[in-house]
Amino acid sequence: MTMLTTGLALLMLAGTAPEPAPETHCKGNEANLATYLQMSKFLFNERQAERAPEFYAPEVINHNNDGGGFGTSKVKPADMTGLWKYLQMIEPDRRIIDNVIICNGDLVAAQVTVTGSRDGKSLVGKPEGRRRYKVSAMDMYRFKDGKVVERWGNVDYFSQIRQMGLPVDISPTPLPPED
Amino acid sequence: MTMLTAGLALLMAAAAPPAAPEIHCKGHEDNLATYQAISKILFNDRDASRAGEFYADEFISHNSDLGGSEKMVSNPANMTRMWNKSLEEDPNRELIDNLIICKDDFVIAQVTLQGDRAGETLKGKPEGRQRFRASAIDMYRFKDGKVIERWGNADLVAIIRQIGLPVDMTIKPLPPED
Repeated sequence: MTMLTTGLALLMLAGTAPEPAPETHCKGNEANLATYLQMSKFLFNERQAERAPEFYAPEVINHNNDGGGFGTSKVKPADMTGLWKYLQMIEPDRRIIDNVIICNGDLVAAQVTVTGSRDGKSLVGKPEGRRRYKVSAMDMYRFKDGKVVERWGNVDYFSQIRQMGLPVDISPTPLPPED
Repeated sequence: MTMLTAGLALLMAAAAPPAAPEIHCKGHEDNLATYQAISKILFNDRDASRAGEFYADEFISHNSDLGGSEKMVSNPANMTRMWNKSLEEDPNRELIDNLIICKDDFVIAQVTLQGDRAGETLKGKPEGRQRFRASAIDMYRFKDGKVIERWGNADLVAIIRQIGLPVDMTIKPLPPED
């Protein structure tokens, strides 16, 4: 193989090779797995925010606020639509790659990799260009009648801050109230 | 209710044990039992000498426990060091299991981490101890009753903000591709 064709082959692999399929353990829970995979594709990756009501119940118990912090709140599909639109705007190349998916009962848990970038102008020090990140996360969803009714999640936000230099406020905050 | 009995009731509520976790582990009782033993003996009692009972001689760790998602091979001796350090820095640390799912060789636990640190080890050296409370999700793969692979994410930013840990927040390079 000449250097030119080798280079072209490498470029093709780098640019277009599909991610490996996730490891799934969902025998007997195929319906919830299928719903989760659709969420992963349409919401998390394609950010088709207007489709949030297809996947989230009218009221969802939310145990994560997507920016760090403890506590439980109730969210609606419109809140998720807003989140996905915001993420699409600030991180247009954000991707979530499912690595391991586990299902049991009405629950689906996914270990994922989150990658993306932000414009340097929005970050500490305002570096030129975009600054990339790659971190791990764990998400859990409870489904009822094919829709999410409860969710939990933790992302390695600390690493994300350090990789990108997010302008976060890390001054001490009060302890969250007991539930 | 008099103020005395109300106060006693509040004290009793504060001392009440956490609610039992919601468990989905039918058919996987062995791995559940092992995880619950890990939770008690290592995560809470911090009996670090017993790490070898629960971790394989070599296991794959996908979390560095201080942020970072690089994969590495670890061993029980590393875990023993980690639990000893944890006990020294966070003697009151508790890990409360809220939800446990088991499937095949996996156990996943959604947990609450809480504890405190001495003010003199923290930014600004506040008086007394600073408390924290945050969420985490951990995942383990078991083989022959021992952990051979683990993943996890904790809300470290919330902990940093609650207690003012003196962490290095300078920019670090993107991790290498696997």
